[in-house]
Amino acid sequence: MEFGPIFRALLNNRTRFWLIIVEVALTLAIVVNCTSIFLEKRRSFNSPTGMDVENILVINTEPFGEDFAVQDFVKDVGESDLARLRSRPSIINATPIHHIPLSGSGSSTGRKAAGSELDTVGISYFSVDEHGIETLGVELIDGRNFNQAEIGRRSDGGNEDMPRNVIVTKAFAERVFPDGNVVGSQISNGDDEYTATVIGVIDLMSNCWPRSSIGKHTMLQPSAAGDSREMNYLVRAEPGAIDTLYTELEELMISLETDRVVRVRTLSEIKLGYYSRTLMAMKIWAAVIVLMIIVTSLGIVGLTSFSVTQRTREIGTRRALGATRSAILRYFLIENWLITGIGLAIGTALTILLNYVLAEYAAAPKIDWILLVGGAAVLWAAGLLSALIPALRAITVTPEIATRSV
Amino acid sequence: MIKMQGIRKIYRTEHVETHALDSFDLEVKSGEFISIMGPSGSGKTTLLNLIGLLDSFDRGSYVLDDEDVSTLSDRQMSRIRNLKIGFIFQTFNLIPDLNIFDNVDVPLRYRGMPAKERRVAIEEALATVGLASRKKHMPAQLSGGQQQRVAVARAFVGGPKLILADEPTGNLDSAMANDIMDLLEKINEQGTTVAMVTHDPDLAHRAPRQIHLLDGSLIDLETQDKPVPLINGVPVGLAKAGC
Repeated sequence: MEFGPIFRALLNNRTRFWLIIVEVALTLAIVVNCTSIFLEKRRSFNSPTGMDVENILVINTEPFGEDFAVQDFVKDVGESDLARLRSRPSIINATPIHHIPLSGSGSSTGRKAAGSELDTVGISYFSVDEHGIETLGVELIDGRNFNQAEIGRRSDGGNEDMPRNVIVTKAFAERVFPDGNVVGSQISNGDDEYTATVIGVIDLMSNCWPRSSIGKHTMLQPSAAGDSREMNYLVRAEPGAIDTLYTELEELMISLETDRVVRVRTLSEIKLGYYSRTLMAMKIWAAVIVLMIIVTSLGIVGLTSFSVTQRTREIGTRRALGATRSAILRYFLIENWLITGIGLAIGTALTILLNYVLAEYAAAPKIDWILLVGGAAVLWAAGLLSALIPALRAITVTPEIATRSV
Repeated sequence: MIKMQGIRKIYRTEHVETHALDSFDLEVKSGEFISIMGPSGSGKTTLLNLIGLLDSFDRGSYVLDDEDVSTLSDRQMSRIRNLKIGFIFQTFNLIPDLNIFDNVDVPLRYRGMPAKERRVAIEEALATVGLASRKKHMPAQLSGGQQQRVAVARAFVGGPKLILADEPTGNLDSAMANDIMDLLEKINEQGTTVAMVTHDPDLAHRAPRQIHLLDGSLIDLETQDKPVPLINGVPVGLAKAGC
């Protein structure tokens, strides 16, 4: 093989190749970092929520009738709504809920092990009744569900009315009770003025802000329908029934009580809304990645073509001295491998440097070395394919070019 | 060494056919040194290209070193060029990005010779042309005469049976031209057949045999039945165009 002379020739004429080297290096750095961010966003979007997202409908009601100023009326409407929903075929269960998971809007607080000197840990909470766990589709892995006796009105803010029994996610439990024994333990707010008993642990449930660092710190607390005028319900449909229910539920809810505006959405829609900027960003990252690879490939095609044109006589001379067409092809491909290889070596250092800066100042994820190797392999292949086009033109140069005077 | 019979070479464009060589015969014995002269467009370079298997012909037969090379594949022709023929070009055709050593190495690499043998052969060849101390130099760091000496070294480094030189002194002053001719004679004395295209009658006459081309036909001063009147060694009728 001709690695030695090709490498020495490159060193002797660096200006011819530095553009490709710089282009490949920059492309690797940008493509790998963009891909890393893209994958991180995709991972976030696809990460398990613990809920049966695909089969959950969210019903939001905004009453405008004067009757809704009476709390007992509101309570009656809530109970009636839920009874009707639960009795409807193809609905597995339904629950009142104050905030909607995956929506980007909700409430959070801080809780710690009661009596602990440690700081509280952030947690987002949802008020549901005893049907909440089944409706959400979350898995209770320890302890028990709420019973009907525990379901009461949500408090007005005073500690006395706060729920005394709660269910938390495993992620939160492990953080606050690293030694285990969660069920039956007490959690409290920062100054221990309010305490509640953990009666159950659910495996996983994303809260209102799944992308945040406390996105899996979730607490369920008992609450009955009719705590407030504006009511939200979650409805879990049987698999395959969600589309039909989607169109029917709005009509059903209005038929039960006309003085309200009803809006039905799927939890999947809400999730898409929450992730809309992420999804847009993912499309932009994907476009940047593809565009960079295309531009670099075109650059290699252009510069290698220019190199072939410039070296027509050299190619003819090599042919005259005994080079076969395949030797000429091999020469240009090896040359490209080396140029791309140098570019990738520099690009690897640049990628790590750029990742360090992005991680430091833009909270970008650390690059997986497999991604770096994969990115380099893709660029190497793209470089090789791009060089193939002009290299195939080079082998059409005839040896008699060597004796031409012009 | 070279036996061409009835060679025809036509260059075709969309509307024009140019007969570069027609019914062309040539025989050169092994170890001969011939010079090829003729006016511009007479077919000298075409002939050299055909002898050197750089180009193909339309009709006729060609036997090179007892091997019929009339209908070889591109790969076979590359191999014969590499093993049996050395080329010297008017413009030297050194590869500018390679140093002198690597330039002389080019034909040897194509024949897959082991690195040690190549190194010995290259150093001997460079010593023969007096450039052993310049092997790390780049072509641009050498004078024209030195570059052509490198090209001569590259031509004979592989021990070819035939060296083809296309106006090897065309870009050199007379002193350097004489140096190159001395080298070619030295190589010829070692048994290598040399065919040289030149415009210079003085240099042409240093070759024991001169052939002249006119409109694609051969006038061989050695085999001509009737004596051809010469002016400055060039057949009458060619003198104006040739000199």
